[in-house]
Parts: sequence; C-alpha cells; structure tokens
Amino acid sequence: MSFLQWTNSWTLIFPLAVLLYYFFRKRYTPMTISSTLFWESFMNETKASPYFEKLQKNALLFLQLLALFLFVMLVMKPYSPATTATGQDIWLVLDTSASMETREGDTTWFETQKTRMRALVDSHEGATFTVVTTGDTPTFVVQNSTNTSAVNAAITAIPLQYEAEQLKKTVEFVKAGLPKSGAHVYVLTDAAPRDLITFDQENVAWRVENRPTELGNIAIKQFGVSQLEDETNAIVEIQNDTKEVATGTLEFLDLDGQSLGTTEYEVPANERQIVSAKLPATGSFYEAVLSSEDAFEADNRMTATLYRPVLKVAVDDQIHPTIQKALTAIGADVVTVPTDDLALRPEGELLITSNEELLDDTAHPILLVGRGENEQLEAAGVIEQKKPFSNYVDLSDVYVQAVYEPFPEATTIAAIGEQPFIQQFENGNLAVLASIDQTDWPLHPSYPLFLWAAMEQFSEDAETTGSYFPNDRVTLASQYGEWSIYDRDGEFISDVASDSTMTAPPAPGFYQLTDGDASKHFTVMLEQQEKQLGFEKSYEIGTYEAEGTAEVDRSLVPIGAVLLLLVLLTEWEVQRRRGFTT
Amino acid sequence: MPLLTTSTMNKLANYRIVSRKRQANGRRGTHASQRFGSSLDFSDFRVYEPGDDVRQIDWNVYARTDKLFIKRFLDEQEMRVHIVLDTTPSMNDGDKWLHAQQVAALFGYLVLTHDDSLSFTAKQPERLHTFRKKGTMYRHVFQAKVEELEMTKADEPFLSTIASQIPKDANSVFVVTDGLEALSEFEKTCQLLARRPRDIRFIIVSSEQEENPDYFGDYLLVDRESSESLNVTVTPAMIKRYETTRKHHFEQLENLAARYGHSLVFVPSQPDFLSAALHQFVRFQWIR
Repeated sequence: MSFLQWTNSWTLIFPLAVLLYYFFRKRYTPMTISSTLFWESFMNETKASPYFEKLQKNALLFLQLLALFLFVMLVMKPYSPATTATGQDIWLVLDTSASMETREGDTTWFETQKTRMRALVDSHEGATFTVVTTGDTPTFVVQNSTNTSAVNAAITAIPLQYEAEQLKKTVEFVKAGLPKSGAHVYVLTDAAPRDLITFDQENVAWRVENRPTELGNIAIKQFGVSQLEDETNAIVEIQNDTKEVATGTLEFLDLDGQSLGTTEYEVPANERQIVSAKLPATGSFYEAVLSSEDAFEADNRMTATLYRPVLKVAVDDQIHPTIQKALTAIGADVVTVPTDDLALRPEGELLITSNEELLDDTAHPILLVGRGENEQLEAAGVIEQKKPFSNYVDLSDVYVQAVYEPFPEATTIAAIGEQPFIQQFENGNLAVLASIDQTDWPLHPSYPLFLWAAMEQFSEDAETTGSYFPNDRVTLASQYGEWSIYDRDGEFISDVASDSTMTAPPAPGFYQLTDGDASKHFTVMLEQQEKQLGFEKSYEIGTYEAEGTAEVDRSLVPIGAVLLLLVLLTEWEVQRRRGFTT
Repeated sequence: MPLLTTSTMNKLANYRIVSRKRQANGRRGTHASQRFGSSLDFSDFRVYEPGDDVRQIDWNVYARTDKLFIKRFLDEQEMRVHIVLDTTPSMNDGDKWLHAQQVAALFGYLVLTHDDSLSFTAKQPERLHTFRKKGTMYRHVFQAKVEELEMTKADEPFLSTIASQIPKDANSVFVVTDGLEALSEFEKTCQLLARRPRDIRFIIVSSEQEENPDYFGDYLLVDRESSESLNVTVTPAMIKRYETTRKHHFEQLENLAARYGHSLVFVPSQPDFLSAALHQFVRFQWIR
C-alpha cells in the first residue's frame, strides 16, 4: 500500500499536538475543603443566557459534531477559485555559459539573472512557466508548470554549464516549442545581439536581458607547451580587453597544484601579447594562472597537455606488403626498412616485423606478425575476442587457415577455438600468430582498423586521454566501460558509459579517469568564444496578449485541517475541565 | 480529651449568660421583666443606665454609695436555654468541629452551673440526638455527650432543620454553625425563628483554612458536603476574590440576623480558642 499525497503527511502534527497537549495538561490535585460555596459563587459569574447554557451542557457533543462535519468537508476537498486569472504562458531562457559567471558585487551575473527569473515567476502568479537552459542541446528545466514554488526551486538548482550558449540554436529550440496561443519569452543572458531573434511568430513577445554594464576582461587566449630536451617550453597568449594596462604575474602549476615557475607580464590596453617561459619538465599537465583580477575569472586560467609526438612506424620489408599499404591508407607515418636495420630505428618507433628476436628490444614497441619459419598449425573455427582490445575491431568474419604456436608468457586477446590468434605481452607488445597470407584478413575492414588501433595503443599517452570542451560527448578509443571520472580534488563526477562514451564535465580543469587501479587524466577547457565578454543593450521585440483566463483553484484543505485541529483541542480542553471518565 | 479545660471551667464559674431579652427590651419598656413573681430573691445589682426603669433603683444603696443601682431579681424568668449544634460534614474541617463542640460545651456548662434548664439537639446519622437536663451534676455528662457526637451524612442541610428542633418552652437558643449555606436559606431560617419572640443567638465558627487558604496552584476543589467539585487555578488574585466573597457572605449573615432581631457572633479559629471565645462573648455582652 502506498499513498498518493505524501505531502499531506504534515497533518501528522495533529495527533502529535494532541499527545503533547495531553502530557502538558494541567494536573489538578484534588483537595477536599469544607465548602466550595464561595469559590463557586465567583467562578460561575457569567450569567449565561439559557441558550448559552444549553450549549455549555452539550458542548462536547457540539464540538464532536463540528469536528466530524469539518472532516467530511475536508474529504470533499474544498477549493476557492482564485482571483489570479491570467492564462499567461511565460518562457524563461537562461544562459548557462561561462561568460555568465562574471562577478557582480558579492554574487555573480548568473545568480543575479536567476534572482530576476524568480522575481518574474513570483510576479506572474497563475501563469504557466517553462524554463530552458542554453547549450548545444538546449534542455527543459521546467515545462508548463503553474506551481511557482516548484519552478523557483528548479531555477535555484540550475548549475552553470560553462558550455558556449549557442543562443541561435536555443532560440530555434524555443520557437519550435512555443504554444500556438503565443507566449512571453524572457532570454536572460549577458550579451545577445539584436539579430538573435527573427521575428516571425504571432503573439510572441521576446525580451532579451543583457548585462547592463560593459566589463573589461583579461584572458588567457592560448596556452601551449612543447618539450625541449629536459625542459618544457610554455607559451601563453594574453588578451587585455580593458582600458588600462594589465600587469601581473603569470604562475605555472602542475597537476597537483604545485608551482613550477612564474613570469611577469605587462599587456597594454586593448591588445594581446605572447609571454613565454621555461619550466621544469614534470609530467604532461600544466596550468597557467593570471594574477590580474577582473570580473571574469574563469578565463584567467588555462590548462595545457604535453602530447607525445605522432607515432612513426617502421615496417619490415620481409613482411606482407599489405601491411604497409594499410598503414599508408590510414595515414600513418610509415617507412619500410630491411630487417637488420629495424633495431637501429630511433627510439619509440613502432616496429612491425615477423622476426621474433626483436621482441627483446626494449627501445621500440613491437607488433609481431607471424613467426617466420616456425611451425604452423591448422586452425578451424571463428575468431573470438578473449580480451577487450578495441571498440572498432571486429574479427568475427576473418578466415584464418593456420596459426603459429602461441607464446606461453603472453595473454590471449583473440583466439580461434582453443588456439590463440592475437596475443599481448606484458610490456604491451602485440603478436599476431598468423602469416597474413594464411588469412583473408586484408579483405576485411578490420585489417587497417586493427593496425590503427594497435598504433593508438602504442602512441596513447599512458597518462592522458586528451582535452575536451565542457559537456562534450566523447567516445573513448579504448575500453573504459567500468571507469569513473573524478575531479582534481578527488570528488566523484560521473561514470563512463558501458560503451565507452562519456560526457565531459562542465567546469574547466583537470580530471581523472580511473577504475580503481589504473588512472588517466584529461582536461576540460573553455571554448574560445567564452573568453570574450561582449556588451549589448537589453531589448524587446513583439507583443503578447494572453488569451482567456485560467482559473487557479486554491485548495482550502490546509485551512480546514488547521480548523479541525483547533476544534479537537477545544474538545480536549472541555473534556479535561469536565473531568475524564476513566 | 475534655472539651473544656479546667482553667476554663474555673473561669466560667464567674460568668453567667446575659438574658438578652432583658437588655433589648428594658429600654423600650416592653416586656418589663420586673415581674413581681413568686420569689423576690434579690440577686444582684447592676449599674443604672439612662432609660432603665426608675422604679427599680435601689435607693438604699444609693443612699450609701451615692451611685445609682438597679436591683435585679431572681424572678427573672428561669432561663431555658436550647443549644443546637451543626453536625453537617462541612463542620469537620480542621479545628472547626472541635471549636464548635467547645462552644456548645461552654454554654452548656454555663447554663447548668447556674441551675438553668438546658436542652440540646444535634443531628446524628439516622437520628436526632437530644439532651434535656437541669442542674450542675450534669455538667460533665453533657460535655461527654457533646464529645461523642459525630458528623451526619453529606447533603443534609442544617439551617432548615433548626426550627423543628427547638422545644416550645425554650427562651434562649444558641445555634452553633459555620454559616456555609446559601444566604437565602439563612434568611428563611431567620424568618422562621422570628415568628416566636425568642432570644436567638448564632455562633459562627470557622477553620484556619477557610479564613486563610494556603493552597496555591491547580486544584480540584471538592465540597465536603455536597461533593461538588470545581477545577480552580488558585492564584493570589483568586484568593483575594475568595476572601472578598467570604467577607461579603458573612456581612450579609450579620445583617440578616440583625434585621430579624437575632444576635450573631463570629468566633474565628485561633490558638487558645476557649479564652478567645470567652473574651468574644463577653465583648458582645452575651455573658458577663
């Protein structure tokens, strides 16, 4: 059994009140005195009229009848048609982009706009409200609600998304959803231009409310790092959009927030400048922070990731020629090299060969294809994936005639029946246990895809999966189904979906992907357009007249319930005075 | 424990009840009690007061002392005193009952000591207790009888029963009660008793608690007699109102009694009750 209106459980206060009353009731100590003659004479001074006396005598009965009558009324759910009779449709669009987070005294422009929204809600009692937030996919926060307190609560809870507002998209979204009877749309943003709204609908009034003051802004436009032997070279582009010279200190922090170095900067008004610094090479993550204080703080810091250079591949000239063709097709940087020269390749280059001896080479990642002259065994069956390798490689259609003997120390990634087909060593090296000419693999799309995936695996930074914009939908290359996202302070953000897709968190900064043991990092950066504060005047377009009247019925149940409680208490009091018959 | 202490009894030997009839009527000149009856026993002198009958002045004494004295004769009609005692449950409050018994015993003693005729009635559960004796030898018997008395059941009124208890030949009636009945009842009783020209005297006793209630707080006050109960939150303000009501009630009692020609004396509860009571009766010239 469950209840439809849990909200009415506040009436539990009734039995509670009665209980409390009982415990705190006056206890009269009985005392026998010679005569109550005198007490009675002045206690009963009210000379009651006969009707009143009759009422007094039967007071208990009347009170109980009244209580029951009230109860009957309450059960019928009385309401009074309220006088707020405007059937207005009001749409509120809130810009949740980063540029809304400029400081306004003690609060932010975002909060100020929220307060404005709540004021609009409160001043239009009886209207139907819809609240929309901006972004690449505009969303309904509240849809066609008349419950002002619920709407206000929803407005208060809207978080800043930092994602660029994409107002044009949002406006189209709103237009598509507006009711035919028209509506009054309020767009609460910071700097929407006049040409945002094309006025092509009837009975729709648009009011765009921008930030009233023009604010200067100092921002880091670009921040890049590159490796120079044992140092990191950092380059920062600072934009000064204020009327004064911007001076200050630029501080560089690593992943843990430790300072790596500082440099001074001085940027003239309305100009941009490039500042560079040499930092100690620690890890792949860097953050640059401006010391200048301006109204918009989110763009005063930026993160940068040091990427390893693009993986070069060297292919053994003895190996099946289709490998090289496939690699070229996927745009890899490929070079064909005689077998003996493979070991001499620069460190870090991927070597694709069938020469087993190279597996001992620690300077290069190896992809072994076939085992040369070794014995081959007949293979029969369908290739099954034993361990997740890559989302993009589907080997089920590939025909393999014969496989080589497996390496006992390697783990099987794919197998045909009982016989391993692809293996991976502890150091990450891969081995395909078949000679390409014993398969029909080159005829399948999984052939170049496998090579690409292998390349990705090797070139993938052990530490990073990349950098994203706020709320980006991302499909991660490797299998991260069970992983979770945490922020820099270790707070849980979200989980990666089982198909390895994730939505990048909204706030810029460093994040960590972990499954409990291994972890990788990624960063979220502001979009360039959010680093500029525009200035536009607020404006209104169009007119709107509400049609008809909507009646909002005010329920009288709470008042009735309180009355009932009072009657119960009076009854209790009367009974107490009369003496309980226990 | 005896109702009257030995010292009280000794004191009482020097007093006698004043016949009110004489006092009241002497000035008016009606019912002149200088009946020249069968015995002209000279009893006592008393000081002449303007308005007394001049014929009664003892000129011999005047010749000797140059002071005017009135002769009093023993042929004052023999006092036949009747005492009625209230035995309703309201009397059984603190010391009230004891004091009431003491008052009854006191007057009984006085009457019997001076060889007047004493009759006494008091309602008891199921019956009416009566006593009718004359002579000093019955003094202690009377005291014992009074001491033995107990309360009647609740809800038996007192005042309305007085008239029927008084013997026809009694000429002085002493009613010992607490006065805690409705004024209307009291008025009716006074009216009834005034039908016969008799000397009716009321003695009102009370208890310490009635005079000065010392209970504060939330009480369920239960009437001893009627068992009516009342929820009262007793505060000093309430006590004040109680006292005002009580005072008013007793003032009204006094007025009613005076209006019908009866006498009424209050003897409040106090330590050394008997001496105080004696003092009070003397003050009001009931005894001398």
